[in-house]
Amino acid sequence: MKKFLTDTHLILIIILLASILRFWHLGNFPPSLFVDELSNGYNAYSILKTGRDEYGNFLPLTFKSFGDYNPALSVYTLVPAISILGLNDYAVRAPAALFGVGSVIGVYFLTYEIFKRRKVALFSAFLLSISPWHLQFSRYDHEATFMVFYTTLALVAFFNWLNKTTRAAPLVISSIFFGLALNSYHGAKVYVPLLILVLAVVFKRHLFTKAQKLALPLITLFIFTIPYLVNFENTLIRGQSVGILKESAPVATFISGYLSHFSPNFLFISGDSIGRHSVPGMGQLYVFMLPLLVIGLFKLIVEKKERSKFLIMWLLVTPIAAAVASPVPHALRSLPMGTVIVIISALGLYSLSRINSKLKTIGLLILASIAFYNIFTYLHLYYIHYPKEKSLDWSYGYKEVATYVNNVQNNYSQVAIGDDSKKSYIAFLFYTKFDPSLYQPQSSNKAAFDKFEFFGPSWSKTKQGKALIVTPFWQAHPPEVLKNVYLPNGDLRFLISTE
Amino acid sequence: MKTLVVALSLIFVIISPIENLQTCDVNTAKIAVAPLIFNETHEDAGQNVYLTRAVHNKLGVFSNQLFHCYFYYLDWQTIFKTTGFVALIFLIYLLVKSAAKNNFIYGVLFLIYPLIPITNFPILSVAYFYKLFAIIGLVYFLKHK
Repeated sequence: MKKFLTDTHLILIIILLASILRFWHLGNFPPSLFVDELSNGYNAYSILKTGRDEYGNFLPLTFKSFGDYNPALSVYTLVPAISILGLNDYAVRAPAALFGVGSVIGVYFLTYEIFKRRKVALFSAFLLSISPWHLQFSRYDHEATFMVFYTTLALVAFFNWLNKTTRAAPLVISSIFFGLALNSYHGAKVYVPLLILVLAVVFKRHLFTKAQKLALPLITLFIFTIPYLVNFENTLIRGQSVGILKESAPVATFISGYLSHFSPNFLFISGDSIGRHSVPGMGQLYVFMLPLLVIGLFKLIVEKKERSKFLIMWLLVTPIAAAVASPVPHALRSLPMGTVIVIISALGLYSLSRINSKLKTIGLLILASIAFYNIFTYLHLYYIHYPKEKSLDWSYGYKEVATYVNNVQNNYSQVAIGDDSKKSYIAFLFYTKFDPSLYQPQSSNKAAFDKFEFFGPSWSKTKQGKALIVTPFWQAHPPEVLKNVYLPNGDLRFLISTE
Repeated sequence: MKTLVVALSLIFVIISPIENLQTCDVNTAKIAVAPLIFNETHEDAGQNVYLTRAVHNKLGVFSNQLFHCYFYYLDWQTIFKTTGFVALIFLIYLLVKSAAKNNFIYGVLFLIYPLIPITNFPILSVAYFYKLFAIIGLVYFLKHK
């Protein structure tokens, strides 16, 4: 009798599930675009309209943004989405969600290439599709999501080459994806070379017996390092600002930071302390995955195959990029760890499902119940509690202010915004869809553009006419308040007033 | 040479200072329940009461706190801070090598012992337990490598 649900049906269901979890209300959850997302979005808009970034640089290889010179690929990835959907919250996050779904498909093929078992591949795709760690960053426009996608595809191509070493093409494709990963995120400068080193060490037998075939992939990889070599000094800026070398005991800091990423509390109970990186009350992963991870690790240790060595070494190198920086543990910089853990847990689930015992059914039923409860709780926390508790971490309020200001700004000669972060200008550029060709010539002045002026502790009038003043709730403001802007938990965020 | 390495490592394991650990046990878990429940249910105002009870209940919050304590003592970072880097390496060596030989006794003890400080037992015992494990790891290394 034919099976009711074939593997193809199952992977399609998983892709559908992954898509729903990533695209549903993408513009509203998380509650607002973070300033980095706004910056990426406006720079992509600027590229679309003028071919230049906000500073007027023509098709740059790194984006200056707030002075951290981000690799360019993630901004260019937003351009098609913004050209189709317009400059809005959904369009900025849609590519990350799409790449998130792509990673789920990629992990399916990667796990299949590693284990040659459809069931393990299906389990890993399913676990990644519902993983809180992966979901968090698939609904947030951040470069790390793109890096995970490209490295997954690079590994798929590499293992495809490994399984049929007669053709060199997959190895070249693999190096292209590694190259793309390298140009998508700062952390990739540490992570991608380490991952390639792991592949070289574990599969040296395969690689070095066919050394003549390595020339083209290596040249390809070198070409992708050119953006870094051209902008070498600028690409170091971010690393210098967050690196641990300035600490008094960098080695001990590194070891402690590295180990913190393997903390069960970080992984399963409380997660990353940065509000944008995890949901309060949850770990980076579900509790039900803990036994699966332990079983999977045990299988790998006992198995002693090349693939086991690779998975263990891959797991061990993933937190290094996060451990050389602070704060730790850092769910974003160690994002690839979530993928390896999912693959190992899928192996654990597969091993559990193959045990021949009456207890197996009971065990799997208990696990399924815990899994259901975990997933239900996570969705409740994400959609009900998270916006109330962490809206400030998402720069909440600027959209509401900008929408109001947009409607009334013709009645005023000046709009003054209280801003101590020196980054809020980007929100008003974004939400007013300010013409990039007008902004670029005056981009060096971050304290004002057009009618807008951004001030620190106090504001003094510089222009004739009526002014609209936006202040955080704690700052002094004129007595005539036109509108209050509240956070989702009911706390006051901004006051909009006039003289 | 090997004996010298083991002897030096043993000295490191024994003399490395033990850092103070936080108190995290049944009592601290009990104390945390009421404020946590209040915060969580406060945000659920206006929602179906059964749904709120299902996801925010005393049992759930209390067990979450207990797991937090258990994992705090089982944390690699805690082991590193209380016993030092050398002890950590040999402890991991013992766990991995014994598991590879299908010997589960060390793994089971390693998972059970952090339950002890949760039940008001002296917290420092967990640090001495890890040191002991590291010494067994050293002996294991001496015998099997």
